[in-house]
Amino acid sequence: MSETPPDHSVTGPASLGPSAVAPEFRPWRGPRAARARTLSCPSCGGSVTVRANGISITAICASCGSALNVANPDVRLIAEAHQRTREPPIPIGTRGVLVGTCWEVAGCQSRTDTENGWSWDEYLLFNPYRGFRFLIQDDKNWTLYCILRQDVPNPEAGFDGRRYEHQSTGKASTTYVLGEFYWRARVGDEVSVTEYVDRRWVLSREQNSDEIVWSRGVRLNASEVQFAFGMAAPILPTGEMDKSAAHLERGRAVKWIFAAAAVALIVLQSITFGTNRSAVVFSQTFHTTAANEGRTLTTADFDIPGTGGNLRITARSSVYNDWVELPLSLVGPGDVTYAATPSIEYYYGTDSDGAWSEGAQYSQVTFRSVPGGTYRLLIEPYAGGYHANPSNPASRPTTKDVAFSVTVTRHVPDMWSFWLALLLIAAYPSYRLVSAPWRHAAAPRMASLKAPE
Amino acid sequence: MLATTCPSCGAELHFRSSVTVCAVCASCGSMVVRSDITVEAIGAMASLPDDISPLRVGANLTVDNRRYTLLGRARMYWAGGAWTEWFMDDGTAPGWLIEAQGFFSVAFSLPLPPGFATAPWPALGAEIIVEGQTYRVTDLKQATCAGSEGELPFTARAGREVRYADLTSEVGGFAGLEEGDDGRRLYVGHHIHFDDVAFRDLRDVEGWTPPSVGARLAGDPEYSPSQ
Repeated sequence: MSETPPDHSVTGPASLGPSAVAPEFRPWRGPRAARARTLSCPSCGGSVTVRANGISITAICASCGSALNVANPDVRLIAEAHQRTREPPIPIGTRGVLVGTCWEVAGCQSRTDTENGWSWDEYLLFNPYRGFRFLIQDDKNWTLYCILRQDVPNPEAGFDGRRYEHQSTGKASTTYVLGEFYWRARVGDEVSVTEYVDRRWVLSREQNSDEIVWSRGVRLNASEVQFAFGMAAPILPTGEMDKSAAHLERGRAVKWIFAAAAVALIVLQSITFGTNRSAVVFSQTFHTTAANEGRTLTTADFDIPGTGGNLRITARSSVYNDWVELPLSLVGPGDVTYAATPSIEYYYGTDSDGAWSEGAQYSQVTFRSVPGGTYRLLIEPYAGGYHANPSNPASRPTTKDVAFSVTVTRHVPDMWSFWLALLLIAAYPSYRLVSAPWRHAAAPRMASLKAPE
Repeated sequence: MLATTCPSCGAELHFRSSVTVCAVCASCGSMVVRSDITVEAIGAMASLPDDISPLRVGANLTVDNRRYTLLGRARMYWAGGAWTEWFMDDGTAPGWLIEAQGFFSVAFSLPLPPGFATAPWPALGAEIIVEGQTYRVTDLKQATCAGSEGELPFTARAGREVRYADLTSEVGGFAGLEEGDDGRRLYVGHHIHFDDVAFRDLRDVEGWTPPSVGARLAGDPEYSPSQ
């Protein structure tokens, strides 16, 4: 579209000369400040708050669960209900600072993808100046989305100067709604969802019979979200593995074969342990400050010996009640790239039960097969310590020195293949023993960038 | 600027922009229409329900290096909710600030090209070329004006029916064709971010602090990560 506003001529009934606004014009002092709206539920009389007053069109009464049309001054009942509502893990009305803005939870919907066995919660966040965001929690990630007001022709061909990769396709069906929405949200709503990922960034396409909506998302640290919304402990959906002992069935032969195979495997593993010669091929300590935020650190070239084998990258940082995230790329011959995001988080404190701690001051990623050659590391550190409030990147930058070290180790003892072999050996006995099918817990809606350990 | 008095209640009344033809009296709510020689009250405007918007008549913003003042608004209702069209003027190039579903965009009126006034209403998916740019019709909707405040370049009576054809360009930006009882209008516009237009003289929002001016937020998915 044109950069300069077109030569105006507002098509009015009268022919008008050049427009002029008196320079001394002062804003009208309105009768009062803008505010949320409070109304009574036409079904139960309970008090309903409409935070995005003038924007929300549907609200669910928290007392009785009835759906209300709040688009107009006169509130209308859409669907009556008489049951107590379930409070989501982050209650409606909770405020928290994310990506530098204070948001209030206006609505929450639970969605499920029955075909893939996934389910997740979506919070609708509101700020009167910045509008809406969607905060989505699945079993792996917290992701903050904003709707895009433009078309994305093909994310895999590049968008935002990034290369997005297709991650998942599925159907989302709404199973629960609470709070307020600027659309006619209701249980049973269905959309097709396709997601594309590039490191911390996500592009999501939702399509229903009426429209296609693209959103851009960014992954957040769980600790950031927990801190922002004052949640006591990490909230992650837990799988409902059916452990009912009544379904166990014993097969003596199977048990013996399994035991023999497991012993053989352990013997084999200890032999390979002895022959493995693990070696540190690179190690460096980095000191960064807030001034480095968003910059990429590049290491000197280093050699990785041998023709093949695994490689472990260990990141360490002495964080206390703080976090450091190190998106990194290991770039080798022919620009082959291995990407990972070690995340170091360590929290400790005391409560009525005594001292507690959580997380670790190190993080590891292991690439199973990396050919030998000359490599370098590109690291783009993010640290809570860069800012006065670790959860708020808009808060005052600190001058704090954030130190971390990165160690690259060749030929680490490969416990992964050991566990895989053990798993394979155990597969048939388990099948015999556990006859009860287990329900799938929410599976990854997106795979992690981390290489399997 | 035309300073006059409300023909209904006698209160002071201003037409601050030279392109506006109608103003709602802030004292008595009369809708006042001006022509070249007279100022006439044509009825009462019911007061608009309040909302959470931090915008108000008199607030100002910068678009394309021009400092605009919001002079009036029309509140539009449609099947999917409501939006607000703010008339803004900088004395040279008047336009509109559109506030819908928590997003802002600006639009400027174009002269209606030959044939546009009488052509059949476009269908969904139709291609329309405006100023050499190809747009596609991506949405068709019907809306009703719930009322207005301040001054506007057309008579925004409550109950005024308008139909809209939303046009989207492949290279970003949008256009719109609308049709009311007084004919069709054509607009081109673009989406803006709250932080990029330096809003001033906003009204307070109870319980909320306005963001600091000009702060683009690192990590907010509203912005492209490459920006």
